[in-house]
Amino acid sequence: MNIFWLLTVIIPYLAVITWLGIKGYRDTKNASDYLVGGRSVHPFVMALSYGATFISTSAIVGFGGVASQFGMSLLWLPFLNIFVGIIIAFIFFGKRTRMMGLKMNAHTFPEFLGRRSGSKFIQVFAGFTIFIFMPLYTAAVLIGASRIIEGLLNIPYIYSLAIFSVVVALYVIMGGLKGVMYTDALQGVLMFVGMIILLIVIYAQTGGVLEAHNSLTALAPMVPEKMVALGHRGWTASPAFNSPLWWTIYSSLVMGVGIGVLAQPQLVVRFMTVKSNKELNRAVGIGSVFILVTAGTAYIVGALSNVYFMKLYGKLSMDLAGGNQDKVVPLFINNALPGWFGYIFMLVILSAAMSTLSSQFHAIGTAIGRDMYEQVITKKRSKINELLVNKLSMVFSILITVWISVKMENAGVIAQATAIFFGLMASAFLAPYIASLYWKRLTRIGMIAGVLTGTIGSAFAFLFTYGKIAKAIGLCKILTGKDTLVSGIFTAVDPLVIALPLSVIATITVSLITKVENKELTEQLFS
Amino acid sequence: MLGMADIPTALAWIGVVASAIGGVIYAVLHWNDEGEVSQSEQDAEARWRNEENEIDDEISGGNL
Repeated sequence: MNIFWLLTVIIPYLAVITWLGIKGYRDTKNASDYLVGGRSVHPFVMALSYGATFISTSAIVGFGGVASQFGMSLLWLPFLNIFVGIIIAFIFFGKRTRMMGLKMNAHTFPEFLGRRSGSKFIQVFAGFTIFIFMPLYTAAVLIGASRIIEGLLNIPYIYSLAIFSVVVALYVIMGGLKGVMYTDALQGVLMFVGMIILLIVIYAQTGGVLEAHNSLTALAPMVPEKMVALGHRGWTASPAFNSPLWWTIYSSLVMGVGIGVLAQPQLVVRFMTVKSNKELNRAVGIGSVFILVTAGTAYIVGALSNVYFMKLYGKLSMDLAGGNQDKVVPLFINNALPGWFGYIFMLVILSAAMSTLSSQFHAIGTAIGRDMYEQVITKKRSKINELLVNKLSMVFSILITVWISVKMENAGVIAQATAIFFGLMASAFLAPYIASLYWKRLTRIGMIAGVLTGTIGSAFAFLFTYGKIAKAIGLCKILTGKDTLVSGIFTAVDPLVIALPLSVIATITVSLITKVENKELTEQLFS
Repeated sequence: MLGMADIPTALAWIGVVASAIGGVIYAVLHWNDEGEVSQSEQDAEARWRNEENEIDDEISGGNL
């Protein structure tokens, strides 16, 4: 890459990011500003921040690469991202979360659950889960972004990691959620512009929508034998019903990521940043279009890159990428687009990584400061100290993540930890969260039962039944001599499919047989 | 349908586009709709604003 053009793009970008971080700092006067953006964030900023946090580098590069292998059936995932992750989330979850969050003066997702149930244990437990698992997930994003900078600037990984961490750390620590959301909005705009160009180019290069899809359909006989055995029937066809591939796509990718998003703490907290339902209504439209363009494009480009490369080199994308899924999208960009777009796309990737990363840092920091330290250690709460505690927690969360990123050479472990984090959060907290919003009869004990059942069920499935993770962890092998307790197709069933229904049953059953303790608050929340 | 080999995959493509359009339509139809703001919500907001002002006073009073 031309270093002059690279710096011409990077320096103004970093300058604007710094300015937005400073603006966030100036606008932050108290813990509410720092934790929930003063509950008065503009809907445009909120929607873009939500979307940019939602869509990370792995969604663009990683899932784009996965689509080059599995094809268009993966489009059910961006469909769920929009339908569940935006429309259902904003209308049915967001409005009530905002209103109840205000009434309970909750500032974080764990605090929301804790105050709703009247259980300090729930808040500390949820904070602890975020503190333990989220840094690994965050490290995966940090490592990915640092590797990109390492390649672009041709500097050692450790320097790249240091530069990236310092830039993000500055605006997260100083500006709190306001700084994070302002920068997210800019990064969201860059992602939107970059991906819309990519969408136009892929369809233009492959002959338009129908022609492109027909060409991809015609490639079906070229599906590798190994993939056919797993249930692959072509890039424009669904995998064979009940095949390992069918379970992987629909239970793990679509259900796990598509549904699991509803209980992600870094996303839920954004509902509490707007002033009224009007802002959430407006954000639905902005968020839907944003996810369509960013996530939708990644999957379409990934799948259609096969048509493009087949015409150009007579090879499938994965063959050309040497079997490395993560190289497919960058390879397409280098081949199909002019050199200048490489610089734009670099900003898209950096923006996707930075927006997700800053929100993760913020979520871990608040889990440590607000949900654990302030609940367990602080005896006398001072409003001013809260801001300091949260800033110090943010520093701590960043240091942990950087330490993991330096130490963890085995990226596979991190990817597995990411899957565990998503699965665990959804399994443990989704059912109690929905009940919190819609069910007056939910009790403190019912919520604890739902959370613990979901956590234990999910952990058990990850350790003993879910082939990919159970094999890697190896506990089942040590205890039973077998990789997993189940065999065949059941090893591909995502833990969420098992743990979430158990959590639902536990939440409902235990609530029905126990008494609602905080009746006054419940009545107030539902009035 | 749409050049896809089967209907579910074509539906997935249509679903992605249609859901985004649906989101935009919803936003336009409810652009100025704040919904019903209950008395308890108004009280909660007033309480919260009051609390924020006290903190601002505390900060401007040099306690930071």
